Amino acid sequence: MSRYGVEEVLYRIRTDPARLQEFREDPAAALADAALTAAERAALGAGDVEALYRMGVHPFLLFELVRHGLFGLDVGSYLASVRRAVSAGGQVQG
Amino acid sequence: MAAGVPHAPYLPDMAASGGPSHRVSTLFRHVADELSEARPDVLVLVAPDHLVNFFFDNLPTFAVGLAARCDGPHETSTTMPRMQVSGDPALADALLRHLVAAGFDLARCGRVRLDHGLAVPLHFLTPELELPVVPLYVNAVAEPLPGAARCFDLGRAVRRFIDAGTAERRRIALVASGAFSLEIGGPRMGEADEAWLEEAADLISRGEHGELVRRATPQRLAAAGAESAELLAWIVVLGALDGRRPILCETDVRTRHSREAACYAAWRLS
Repeated sequence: MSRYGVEEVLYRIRTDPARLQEFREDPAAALADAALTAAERAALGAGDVEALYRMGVHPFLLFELVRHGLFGLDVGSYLASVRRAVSAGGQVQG
Repeated sequence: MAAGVPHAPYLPDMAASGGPSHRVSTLFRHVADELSEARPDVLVLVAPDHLVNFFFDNLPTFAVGLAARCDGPHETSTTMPRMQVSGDPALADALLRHLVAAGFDLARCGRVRLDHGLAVPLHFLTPELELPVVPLYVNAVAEPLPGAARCFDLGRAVRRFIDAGTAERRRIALVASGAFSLEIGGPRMGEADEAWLEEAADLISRGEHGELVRRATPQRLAAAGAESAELLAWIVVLGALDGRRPILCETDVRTRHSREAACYAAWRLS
């Protein structure tokens, strides 16, 4: 499992202004060196909250996408995705 | 003295725009007045770290910060002024040694990067940042969480350290930082368990700390929202109080992004 890889990317966005800026400008390029599965890379590169939540990404860290308005996310659209993920079975522990 | 306050990252902005008569400003000022009246030499700030100073690569259950200087907050999303504050490496080292000798296996944290959990209380309680700060970190962010009884016992050990006196006979203020009911990023974000807030605050105001520890089970804390485990930081401080009743204990509920049920309290110890 490499959920850790997703969380590490979010941690860098959370604490390093340069990494936040890189990710804001070009998510795919910012993820080029990250240790992610293809599914994780696709979900994180597209800001797919529902998929990332399902993968078990820590919710407090996942919310980092909203703190910076990345992918046009706001609290409403974020929560709608999380609730869809919960309906679909919630977080998969990996 | 001892105290407890919340640390939501928006509180500095809210208090600044609301002015001195805003309830958030008033509540923090009441606690700050108690703190300055006690004339402490050092502040031991019991707080969770929100994945800033620690990450999943190395996340201690309990840790003491020994840095001589630290700054922050280091969240890229912060809107509050950046601060620099002194630590107290000698006192922190003595505290760490005392607690490890007492059977609490805390981590030594020689580099401290402030997050909002520390910076927001400091912003309000010591705005001149003149008081050295020793962070005592309690994991409230990632499972497995410490149990309430363990946190309470840790607080009792901190009290024995304070009572034993340090070489410099410094006056120590003990402050807890955390919410009572809050969820960020999970499906119940925006809900706050106000019944739990009132129940916990009532027990605190009556000095019934043991009963609060019994009721603050992992299940009860989880039911109040994922971040409600921050009450564990408060329970550490309660452990140092020997059932003392607070001079101030007020509840407050705020909504911004999420909804947070919080408490402000202060105790006079002498």
